[in-house]
Amino acid sequence: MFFTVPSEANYLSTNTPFGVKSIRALFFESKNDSLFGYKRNLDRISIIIDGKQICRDLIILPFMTTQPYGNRKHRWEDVALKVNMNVDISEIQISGIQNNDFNIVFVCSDKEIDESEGFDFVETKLLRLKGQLTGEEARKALNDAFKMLDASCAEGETPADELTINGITYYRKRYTFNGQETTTIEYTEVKKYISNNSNGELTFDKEFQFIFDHEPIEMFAYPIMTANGIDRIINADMRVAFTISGSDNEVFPPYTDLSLFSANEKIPFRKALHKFETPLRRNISFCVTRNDQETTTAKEIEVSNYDIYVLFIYKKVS
Amino acid sequence: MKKSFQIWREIEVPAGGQTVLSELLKENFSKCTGAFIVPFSATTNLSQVSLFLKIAQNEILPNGTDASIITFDGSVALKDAIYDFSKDNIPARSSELDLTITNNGTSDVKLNFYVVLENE
Repeated sequence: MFFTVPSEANYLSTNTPFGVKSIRALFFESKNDSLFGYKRNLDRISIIIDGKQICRDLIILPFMTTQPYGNRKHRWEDVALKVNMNVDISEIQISGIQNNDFNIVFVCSDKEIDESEGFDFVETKLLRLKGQLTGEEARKALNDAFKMLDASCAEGETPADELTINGITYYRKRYTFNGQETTTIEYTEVKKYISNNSNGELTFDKEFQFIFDHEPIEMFAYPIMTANGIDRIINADMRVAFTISGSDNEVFPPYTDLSLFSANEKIPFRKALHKFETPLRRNISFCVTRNDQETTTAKEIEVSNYDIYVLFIYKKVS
Repeated sequence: MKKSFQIWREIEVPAGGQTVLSELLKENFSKCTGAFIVPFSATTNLSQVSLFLKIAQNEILPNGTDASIITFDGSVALKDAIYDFSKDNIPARSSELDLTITNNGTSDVKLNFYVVLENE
């Protein structure tokens, strides 16, 4: 059961239809299915339902009902944002619409949500990994672990500047500050945001959003895309869109070539780092997509070996 | 020789129960040369805890091994406390690590498990 709100105004206020008792999810449907591939809309949309903020400054990823070239399969579930709230002729407020080339589709039900239902929509928001460390806890755990690593080294052994805790690899970087070497450590958190799923397929065209909740907030980020078999990825002409919601910072413009930020045998890891000068806000999203013109090469992608990482370095503020 | 750790933090083992961990080791280190446990807190009692550790099909610690053998509690230097199997030539590089922790005690325990990785 769906109802659709066309995007036609910068601000829109409407009510849920009579008889609709719950909203389960929402997604954005492109009005123009003649466009092939992922069309990124720069709108940052905020939606409030019945006084509850469902999303804020969300960068939308329109879902297309048809795929003219037929070599990709989309399901609306792949791009839906889970809502799961009961409504009853509730007010829906939508703001931030700049373009009118999509509809906002609400997935709803004539029944209220029963906790036992176990609805399971695919979320666009990246779930926190189990055991992931944040804030002070992360710094303490990392400091302790690196100290232990240093202490464990016997003569002839050198501590590596990386270690892995609960599946996440952290790096430390020694650097010189004001001409003096300092023991301050920068930690780099490598997260594997896009990888082979259980079906052996990469998740393209799916926008990931997550909250970077390390403290303090003053930090810099160095996103990097790295992958096995990177040459094939470049041939496949993949693009990345990477933005920080809630700010005016477009880290990478739309359709930026992934190869610019990809380390491989020819481009060393450090040189592939892309520094952006603006401190990060908390809401971050990114999406990897194939070029919407290169259908032939896109078909040739063998995705079984690729992992794509995004890497952040955040600076401890003393 | 570069050395690093792969760490599993806050492994919980219920009283009278078992916790099983099965994961791959990091691919950019060639050898796995040691392992140790750190109790999660000073009050964690590991006297009734036993282990089974297998890496790349090599049985490092047989079933029922006393956890105290590889527990680092700060009483000795860490490099002396690490359970050393460097002579066994255990490969890291995406090798599968299987760890079973059994708690025969009457209270839940929580611990951090470390493996030592090395690269030439």
